[in-house]
Amino acid sequence: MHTCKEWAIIKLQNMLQFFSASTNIVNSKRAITECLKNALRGEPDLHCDLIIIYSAIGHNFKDLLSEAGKLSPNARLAGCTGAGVIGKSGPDESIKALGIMVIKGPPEEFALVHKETKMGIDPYVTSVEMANDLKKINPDVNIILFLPSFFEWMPVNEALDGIKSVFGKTIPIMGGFSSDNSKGINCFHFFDDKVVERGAVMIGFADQTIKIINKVTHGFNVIEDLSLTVTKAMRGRIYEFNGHPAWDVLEETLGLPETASWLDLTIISGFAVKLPEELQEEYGSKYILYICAGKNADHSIELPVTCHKGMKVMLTKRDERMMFDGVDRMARSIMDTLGEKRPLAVFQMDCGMRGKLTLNKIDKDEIVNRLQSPICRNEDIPWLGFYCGGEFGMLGRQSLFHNFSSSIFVFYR
Amino acid sequence: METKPSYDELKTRCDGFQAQVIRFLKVEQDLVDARGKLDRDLSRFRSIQAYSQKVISAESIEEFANITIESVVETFEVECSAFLLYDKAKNILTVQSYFGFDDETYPGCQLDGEWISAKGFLKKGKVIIEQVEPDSNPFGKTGLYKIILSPYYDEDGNFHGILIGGVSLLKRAYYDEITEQLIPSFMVFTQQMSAMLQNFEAKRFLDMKVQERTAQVMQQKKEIEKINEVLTSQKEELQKTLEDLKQAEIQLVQSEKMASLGQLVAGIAHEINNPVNFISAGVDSLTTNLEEIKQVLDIYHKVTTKNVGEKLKEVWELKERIGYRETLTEINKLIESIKNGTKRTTEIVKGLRTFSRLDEDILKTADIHEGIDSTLILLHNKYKNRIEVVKNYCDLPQVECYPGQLNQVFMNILSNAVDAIDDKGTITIGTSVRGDHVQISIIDSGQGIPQELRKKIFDPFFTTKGVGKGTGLGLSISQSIIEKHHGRIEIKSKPGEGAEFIIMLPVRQGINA
Repeated sequence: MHTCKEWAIIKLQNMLQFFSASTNIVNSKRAITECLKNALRGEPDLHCDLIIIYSAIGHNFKDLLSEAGKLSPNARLAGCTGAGVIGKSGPDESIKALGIMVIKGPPEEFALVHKETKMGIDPYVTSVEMANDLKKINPDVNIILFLPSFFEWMPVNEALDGIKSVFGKTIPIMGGFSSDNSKGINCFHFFDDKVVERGAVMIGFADQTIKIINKVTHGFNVIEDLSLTVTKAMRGRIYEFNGHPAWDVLEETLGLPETASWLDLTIISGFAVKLPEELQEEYGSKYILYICAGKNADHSIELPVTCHKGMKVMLTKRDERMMFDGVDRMARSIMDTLGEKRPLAVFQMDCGMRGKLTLNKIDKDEIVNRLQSPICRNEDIPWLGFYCGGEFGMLGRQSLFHNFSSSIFVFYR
Repeated sequence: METKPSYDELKTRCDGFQAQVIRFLKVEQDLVDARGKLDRDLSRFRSIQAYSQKVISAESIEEFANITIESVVETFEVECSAFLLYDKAKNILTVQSYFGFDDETYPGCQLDGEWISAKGFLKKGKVIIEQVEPDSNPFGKTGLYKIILSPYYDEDGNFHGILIGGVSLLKRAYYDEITEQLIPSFMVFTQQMSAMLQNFEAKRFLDMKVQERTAQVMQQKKEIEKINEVLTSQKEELQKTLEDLKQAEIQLVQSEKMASLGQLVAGIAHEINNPVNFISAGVDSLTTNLEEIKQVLDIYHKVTTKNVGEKLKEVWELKERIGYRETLTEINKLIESIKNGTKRTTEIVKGLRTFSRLDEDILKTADIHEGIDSTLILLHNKYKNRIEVVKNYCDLPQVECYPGQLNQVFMNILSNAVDAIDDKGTITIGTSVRGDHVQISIIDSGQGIPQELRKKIFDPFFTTKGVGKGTGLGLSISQSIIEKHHGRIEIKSKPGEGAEFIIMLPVRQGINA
């Protein structure tokens, strides 16, 4: 016969436990060591079962993985690069930023798969393959963290559709595009001791006791007067707006110099697409936003989602006050759902366009603080986020792809 | 009625609005850029502050260099950094530490005097930004694309080394371009680093001095400890030797005591034998005499009223036959003789016990005369019939002493005195009180001691007796015993005129002679 306390321990051992830490130490081995030690402070040792790693592009990834492997030999490792990390103490977009979420629990309560996709893929087909692989490992997966490469996985809504076709439409998919430090050059994924250039990692959680709250917000003004109609498109590529080469229209409309890149455009403005009416209230906006993710030689542009002829897109303008209001609204909504319950862990995905490219440090810190302060309530809540190339957030009980937004998934029981 | 604007008016308004939006977006982006620069400068300033706090704890130049180069990477978001020190004697710069380079391509190269002169670093040089050509020297092989170099100087303005930050050709795209905008903050960092390095070196110099002095003190301490160890070892050896000597002394004293006792045993046996013989012979004769008396008494016991006349006649005849009166007289004489024998034996035994006093090897008060007398009893057999012992005792107080040991002294001196007298002679024993001391003088009329032997007489193993007759330790031990009593022993002698041994003893221990 077990005592109540013993039952509580046995029960806890059969559930996932979360710990997190972040650092900007430039020496990669020391950085991961400090992270692990800080995350597991108070625990008897550094042994754990899964480490989710978000790293900025400047680290020596092999050193990160090998050192983590040495410190916690039984732990599975997974993660990717991003434009920065968001830890318990706020955002860090230095080129050596590092953040980890350490997870302890039975191996049957999580599963990992990865894919090397550098040679090009069909997002739907590949995501179905990955989701099936994940399901084979653990059919009970009920939450997915999906970290695809920014470069090969567009249109990414097709990838999400692929996952939903395997796990059901309402499977919560969190995560986002891995990226570099918003230079748009490359990205890397981590899978155990492997560093995979331009791939994807999918992590499934199968702890049935975990509940989630997901909210997403952007806080941008949509300039409805600057509306463009897609007249020629294929999948994520828009060839023409209003019958003219897409890039030329944008160049003229926004007064961009000829030398401007897609990133220059993205920093100034994004594209807004009207949401179905039933999702508008939940989102707090009539529009979902996307970035321009590429400029081609034929003056066509890339969007991260599927586009079609006749689609109307509007240009957007950043509005800091709306961004603050958006995160406040999100935090209030989360607190209403949580009540007195304590969060187990928080996963945050922020668009790189909410980082240093567009916001000053004070505003950026404030946005994160307006989420962390009410949700953590001065408690040490494991919190890991990263600045990505586009993030997943749920609307109408389905995960969708967003840009320019903050998306957070709060785990609780 | 308000008229609807024409298409052209609307178009003009729309274009105007669009132009305003574009201007606004551009202004906003300029503002973001400006804020970004301010953020970066602020971040660098904070990072430099953090560096100063971190590097102050460096305990070695390696650690100092490592903290510095990691801080360069962190502060300026460059890919790699190196810290080079100038060797004035060799006129070269050598890499003290590097970070972010591949191990195979790190700048392990030395920068020679020619390179240093060309950069003008020996005098007050400036921060330089250089694009590195792949086949150029000295950085071409490192894979670097662009570097920022800053010389640093000591407080006297002497060239001390350079600090390098760089980005490789391979990863340049991830990093912001190293531009001249970086120069002011890099210069501030280098100046800060230089000041910290001077502090570090001053501290290290002091630490070195402290370490040297500490090492000296430690060395001295070690030497002292070593000497101490030797001394302790010697002390232990000496103590052991002393213990051995004490043990040997105890054994020798015991041997001497046993030897003395051995010599005495024969005399004592003889002394005891005589009275025992008196007693034995007396008892035999007494038995015979008492048998005769018993016969007379038996007849008396048989007397009745009828035979009284007859039995009295038998008694009278028997008395005549045995010489009854003479027998009674003889019995009295025999009893007296046995009494004398018994008394003499008792005296000898008492003398022996007094002499030996084995149970009295503790400090206590004793009668000196009693000790001398008991010794004389034991020696009686050696000197009787040839030596007259004259005792000039005065009234002595009880003396605090080890009685058993003092008796051994008296035995040695009196025994030597007896031996010194070949035939007939006199031994005069005198005692007197001298202040806090008592004096015992033993004078023999023997042959005396020659001058040359008098110095050796107290030496251990010195003897004038034949082999096997003496241990040569008697007087040596006697002197030790008297010294132990804080007294002294002297000898006066002239050849042919006998010798006098004078012993001075304090009445109470703690009073020196």
